Amino acid sequence: MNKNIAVGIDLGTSTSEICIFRGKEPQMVSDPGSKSPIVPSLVACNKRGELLVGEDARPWVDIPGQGVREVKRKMGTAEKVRLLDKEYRPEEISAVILKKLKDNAEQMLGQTIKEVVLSVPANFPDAARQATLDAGDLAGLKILRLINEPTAAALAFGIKNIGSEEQIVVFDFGGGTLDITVLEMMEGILDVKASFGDTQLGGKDFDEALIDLIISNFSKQYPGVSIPDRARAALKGEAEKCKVALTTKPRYESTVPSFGFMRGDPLDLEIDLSRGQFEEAVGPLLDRARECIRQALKAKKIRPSAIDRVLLVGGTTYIPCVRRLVQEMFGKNPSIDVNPDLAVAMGASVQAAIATDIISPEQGVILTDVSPFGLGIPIVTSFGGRDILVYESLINPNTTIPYSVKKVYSLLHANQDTVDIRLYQDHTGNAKLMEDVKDTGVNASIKKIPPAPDGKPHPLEIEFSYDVNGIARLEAVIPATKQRVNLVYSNTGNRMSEEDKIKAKEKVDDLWTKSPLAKRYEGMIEKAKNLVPTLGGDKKTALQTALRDLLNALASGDNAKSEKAGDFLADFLFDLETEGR
Amino acid sequence: MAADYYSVLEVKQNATAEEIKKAYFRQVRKHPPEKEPELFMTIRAAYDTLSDPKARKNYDDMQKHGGEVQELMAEVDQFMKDGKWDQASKKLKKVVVLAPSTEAAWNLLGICFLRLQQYDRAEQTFTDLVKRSPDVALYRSNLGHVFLEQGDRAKEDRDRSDWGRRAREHFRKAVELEPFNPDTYISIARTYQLQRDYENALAWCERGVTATPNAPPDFEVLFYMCEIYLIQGQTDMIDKTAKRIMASLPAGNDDARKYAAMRFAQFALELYKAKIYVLAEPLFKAALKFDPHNEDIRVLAEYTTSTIAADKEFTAMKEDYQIVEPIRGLVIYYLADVYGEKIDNKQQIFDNIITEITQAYQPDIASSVRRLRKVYPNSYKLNPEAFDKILEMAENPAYQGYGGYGGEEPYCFIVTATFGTPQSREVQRFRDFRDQYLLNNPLGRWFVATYYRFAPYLADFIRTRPWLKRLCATLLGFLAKFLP
Ligand SMILES: Nc1ncnc2c1ncn2[C@@H]1O[C@H](COP(=O)(O)OP(=O)(O)OP(=O)(O)O)[C@@H](O)[C@H]1O
Ligand SMILES: [Mg+2]
Repeated sequence: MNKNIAVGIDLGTSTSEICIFRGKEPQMVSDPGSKSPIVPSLVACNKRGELLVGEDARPWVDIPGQGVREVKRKMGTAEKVRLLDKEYRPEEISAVILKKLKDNAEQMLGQTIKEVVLSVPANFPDAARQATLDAGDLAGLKILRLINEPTAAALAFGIKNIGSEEQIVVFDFGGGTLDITVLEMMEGILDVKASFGDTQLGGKDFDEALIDLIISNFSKQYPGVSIPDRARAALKGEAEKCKVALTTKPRYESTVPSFGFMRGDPLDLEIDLSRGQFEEAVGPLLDRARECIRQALKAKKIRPSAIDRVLLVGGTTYIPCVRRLVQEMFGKNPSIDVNPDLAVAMGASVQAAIATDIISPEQGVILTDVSPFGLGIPIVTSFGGRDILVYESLINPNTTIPYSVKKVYSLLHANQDTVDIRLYQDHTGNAKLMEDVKDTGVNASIKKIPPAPDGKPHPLEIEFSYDVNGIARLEAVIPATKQRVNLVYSNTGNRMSEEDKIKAKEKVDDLWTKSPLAKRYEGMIEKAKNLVPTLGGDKKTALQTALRDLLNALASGDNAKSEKAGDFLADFLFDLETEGR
Repeated sequence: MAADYYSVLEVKQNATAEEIKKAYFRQVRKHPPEKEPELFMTIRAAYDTLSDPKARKNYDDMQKHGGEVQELMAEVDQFMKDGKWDQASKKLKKVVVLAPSTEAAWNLLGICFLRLQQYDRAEQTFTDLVKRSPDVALYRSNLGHVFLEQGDRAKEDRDRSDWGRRAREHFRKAVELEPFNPDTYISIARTYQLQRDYENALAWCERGVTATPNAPPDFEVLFYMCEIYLIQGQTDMIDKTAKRIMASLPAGNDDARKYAAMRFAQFALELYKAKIYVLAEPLFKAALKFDPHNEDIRVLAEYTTSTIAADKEFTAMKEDYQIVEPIRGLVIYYLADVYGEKIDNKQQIFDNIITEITQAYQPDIASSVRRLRKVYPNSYKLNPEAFDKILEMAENPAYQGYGGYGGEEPYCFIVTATFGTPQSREVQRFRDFRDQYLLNNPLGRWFVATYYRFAPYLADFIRTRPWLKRLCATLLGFLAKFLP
């Protein structure tokens, strides 16, 4: 991989993007098929069982069992999705999308890429982050770092506005998540203060609110009508279309034939909705967004008037009533300084460039980020005379990183001979009880502690640190006995087992080989076609034959034959290339 | 203190907020987090402290007077442990003058004021703390205690209710902040108890029982519920609650069981000393359930049980004419004594009973005592030595015709037997045990201390137990017959 190239990927709920940082600028990669840098996060299989990713998947994706949408929502859960006859983990489907993006970039660059920065929602729980890293592995990528999406968007702004001094809010409302990040910019430094959000609120929920509205209207119009599941699923695409249309138009009208059935007779669905009706239906979702903004401002005691700029990021911010909400809450017009669809991927590539020293720290933009969640340990404390186990935070969510802290505790009694240290995660920011936090599984104990000679329990010191790569280290020492243990909590802490990963990789590769053959040979065919006029004699005829054989094989749908013809053509082109030198 | 924060950021002590911010960004540019993480962390710590006015003030105070404050706080700690609230409060005042931003010192000062019954100052202190840090449950609940304690001390029902209501307001806020602290639920229950609203008191207790998640039902709350049941005379509920406690104790944890037993026994003993046997009994029984092999508790439990049985027998005996009146009178006399009833002309009543016994037809006396021993064993056990002596005298021909069984000697004997209750030895033994066992055991020490938290209520509920008074009145009515 070229040393002067850095790559960033925005793996979104609805759309994904890949961006190359080359020279001094980020540069978006367009999909060769759709010619757009915005690749829908859709994975589906067509009738022939071929794998389709992105725009090509759209016609098939909503047929039950044949496609997967919005898999990001499921990242970090044990939930599986079905594609034809197989069940897949969310990270496996995500890996397929990553492979598609990687492919696109490699085609454009003409070289393989390996190291990337991936973006995740600021409030993505740790399990989902781990799953994202696994997805990267399965796609054959090395993840330099995960960056929070709103932070990335701010970087995309910052790199172009190095001299500005202002308080910025990034309002990132995408397909699946809402993130609100407050940061300050000065001297070319982006100082992130805090991120708040709702990982379960996005454009997808607007679509669902519309589906509910459409179906309830339809049922009211035809009492007792039955709607097949397949029709309901197919409405997803239609609802999104309606929503997008209402962004620019006051009304949306369309017809879905044979949507429902009454006593065996098909009934057409006639959609006729106004923007007002849409806004009423999504009212509760806007309330949730409003609450999120309120929390973000309250937690950091920030007055809206102190905010100089609101950056809008994510497709859902195109919706007029969402813009109105932002304006109303912050008292100012949102800024159009970044491209809402592309800023995150651009920022991720900037971060990759910083991490690989392509952007020098002396002149370039510098980023200080915050911890996405808290870490801590259980300790016994006395509550009105009762001893109970509580969570003791070592780092809170939204703490600027790197960070370190040293604290002194005491064993419970003089003869205590073992002490267990175990790390837990806090996603709430104010966890107090053990039930508020999640076990990381990272633990260690000091055993065979000699009794304290003076009858006073031994003190125990804890040194904790959290670095920019999200790796936490903890050292516990009993100074009196010089006994110590070390814990390391890193992004490799909670990942898929090696064994699972090998199996998953096989599955992903297997699925990948089902991409339409023609697509796989697209680049080569184009090259061959361009070469034909430049050649003469035997070589010309031979190339034409090889090309025709491949095209015929592809048209026949015979995999083995196509592969053979493809290999032959590849060899032929390779020989031509080496000869020419 | 590590590096001085002002020099880390390269600013003057009197730098403005804006200057501090600029300085921070300047330093980050020089020492970015990716390249110099250690230095960056110090820069960030300095910025976090100096950019927050409260933290900056605290930092400045501590830089100037940190050592002194630490020394003072150590002294305060000792004074407070010794209960020397006055001395502690003097030191604390110095601390808050030097470092007015230390909330911990203000909180301790508030507690000293409370202990010294300077309620106005305590209220002021905690109110200020609540204003400063509205999210700290401790300050809220301490403010509640200022009112709760005044309610405890108030004489009038109406005042008690008022204080209760005021206290409750703050405890409820504390519960919102820290819903897992069972103590606050007890505090709310106590505010209802002040109003004699036992239903709500119990309802809040129920919430407190399971307040701490993943913990067994809270013993303190359950125990406090027993107290409310006692006040209400619902002794059967005590048994049920004891069973709940039993179910909640970790299996195989002897200490927990012994501890629960001691708590119940302790409470029972207090009632026993107040001679409220009917109430002591269920508590002793509960205590025995937890620790069946505790001899001391067993002896006390048995004695209380037989006392109560004697009381029940008495109802039957009233109709039993095979027992002559003066013997019945003597039973009642002992019973009344056992219940701790103040008998005005005790001496005279007693003299009259004895006179009647000696003047009666002695075979009747003898058969009455024999029947008493057989049919009413618990009444007999009220003072077996005395009844044995009477029987011996009635059967002994040597006394026959003596005619004047009012002589000095037997009279003295009976009096001694009655007043020096045979149980006193046991009580002493129990007390010794308590002192030795509990004061050496850290868990126990706390229990003795918290027990007295409830002590004032004992007197209260004896006062408010109408049925207890009624019982004594019946006994007295009977005894009056023996008056000339
Ligand atoms: N013009 C538009 N009007 C309304 N909604 C739109 C418009 N364009 C895109 N959207 C919606 O925005 C969402 C996609 O936005 P985006 O691509 O920023 O999300 P994402 O990055 O995939 O999701 P996330 O960041 O939450 O993981 C979809 O729900 C889409 O319907
Ligand atoms: Mg996004």
